Amino acid sequence: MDIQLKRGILEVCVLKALQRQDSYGYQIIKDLSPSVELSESTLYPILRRMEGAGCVTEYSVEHSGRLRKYYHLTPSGQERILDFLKEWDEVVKAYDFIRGKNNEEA
Amino acid sequence: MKKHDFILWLRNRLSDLPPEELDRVCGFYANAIDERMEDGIGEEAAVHAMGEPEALLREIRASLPEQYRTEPGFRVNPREGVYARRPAEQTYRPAAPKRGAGKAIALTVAAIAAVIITGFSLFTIWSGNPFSSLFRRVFSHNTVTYNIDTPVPYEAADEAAFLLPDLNGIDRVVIRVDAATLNLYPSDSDSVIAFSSDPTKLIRTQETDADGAVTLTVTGTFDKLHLDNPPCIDVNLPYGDYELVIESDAGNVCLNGLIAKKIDATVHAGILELQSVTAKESLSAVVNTGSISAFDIAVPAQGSISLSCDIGNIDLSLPGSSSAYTVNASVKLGNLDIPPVTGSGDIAVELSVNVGDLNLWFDEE
Repeated sequence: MDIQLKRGILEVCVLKALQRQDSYGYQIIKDLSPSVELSESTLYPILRRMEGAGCVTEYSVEHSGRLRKYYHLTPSGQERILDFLKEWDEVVKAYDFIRGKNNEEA
Repeated sequence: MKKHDFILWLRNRLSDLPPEELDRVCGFYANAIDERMEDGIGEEAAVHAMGEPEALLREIRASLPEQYRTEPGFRVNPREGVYARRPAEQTYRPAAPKRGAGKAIALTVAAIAAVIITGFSLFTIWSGNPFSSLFRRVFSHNTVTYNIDTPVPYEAADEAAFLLPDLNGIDRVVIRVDAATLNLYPSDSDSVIAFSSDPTKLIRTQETDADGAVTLTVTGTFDKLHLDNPPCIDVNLPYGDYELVIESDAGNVCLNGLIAKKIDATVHAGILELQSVTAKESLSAVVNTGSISAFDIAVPAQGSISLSCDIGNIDLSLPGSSSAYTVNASVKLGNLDIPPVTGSGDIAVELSVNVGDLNLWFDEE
């Protein structure tokens, strides 16, 4: 898949993983792993970018004698997920048209 | 490798970052390793799961603000090995002024080089033929490549343009764009001018191959594809006897009013528009996903036009009447709408669409 497209899709996947509840790095990777292949090297830039864009905030919680960093989805982040879904509907419509769903016209 | 060594190595290699950012990055990865160890994976395996260290570093740098994207000259002592521990007091923090100075020097050298080369090529043009061949001879031993990536400030502050030497003596112009819109227009003057919404993304190189043929390449690669507002590169090209090659990965391409010897355009995902374009020998365009709209394409007798689209439509309007052309058109899945072509003219036209519609018409019919 084109790398730009992939990056955009991965970003929204990460946001989605935070939709139900706040989560931390490794947990996000585990949650996404059945559907999406993700590693820390990809995840960190995404979280950083999303935080810069105001879609995600972070906070630390003490856990087993260290600080575990949690990420939280903001209303902006929620909007981002919805925008993606709206855009994707258009892509699907275009795809159907190009593919020629009404094959009898051909 | 131990977690402690890995984090220390990371700190070393990112030592130019502001302390907050550095702590943030290293904290994230330290956490990631801890989480895996908690899961029951051993320390070595947990560190290994972070990926190949150099690749990881590249990814991290690529996601940082512009000024931290390239690593400053500092390197871990190779004799000690990449992962060797360094005592804290040896950690090198380059002072900001030093970095600035390096950049300023590089910029000055590039600017001087740009001025010299522009001056030299203008001089050779002004002086006429004998010096043009001198220009070629000087630069045609083996292959000479030089990069000039310093934009010349031009009009608006948020736009910058490249003022490039004219195309006299240049056999081939290659323009490569990734994730941006590309517009090509004729130039009023002899010069090539390229405007970009982000001049730092525009690079120009010039090469001479073993046969003495000179190729000018303009490359614009943007980091992100902005679907609703793509970055844009406008290039003004003077008329000439060069071969024009255009490669666009993701983005629309528009050629308007150009004249060249040969035109070759490849667009992977995007719309290609050709308006009033003249090719003295041949014109060929390939679009993988997108469409081709071509109006008023002029090719002389014995010339050829070839347009192909994998997924998308082709709309082509040719000047004159069908008798001047020999047309070979095919559509695998879609509509083929061409007039009954009885001509067996000496301009060969090859059109092919895999999935999509193909419309062809002639101006005089």
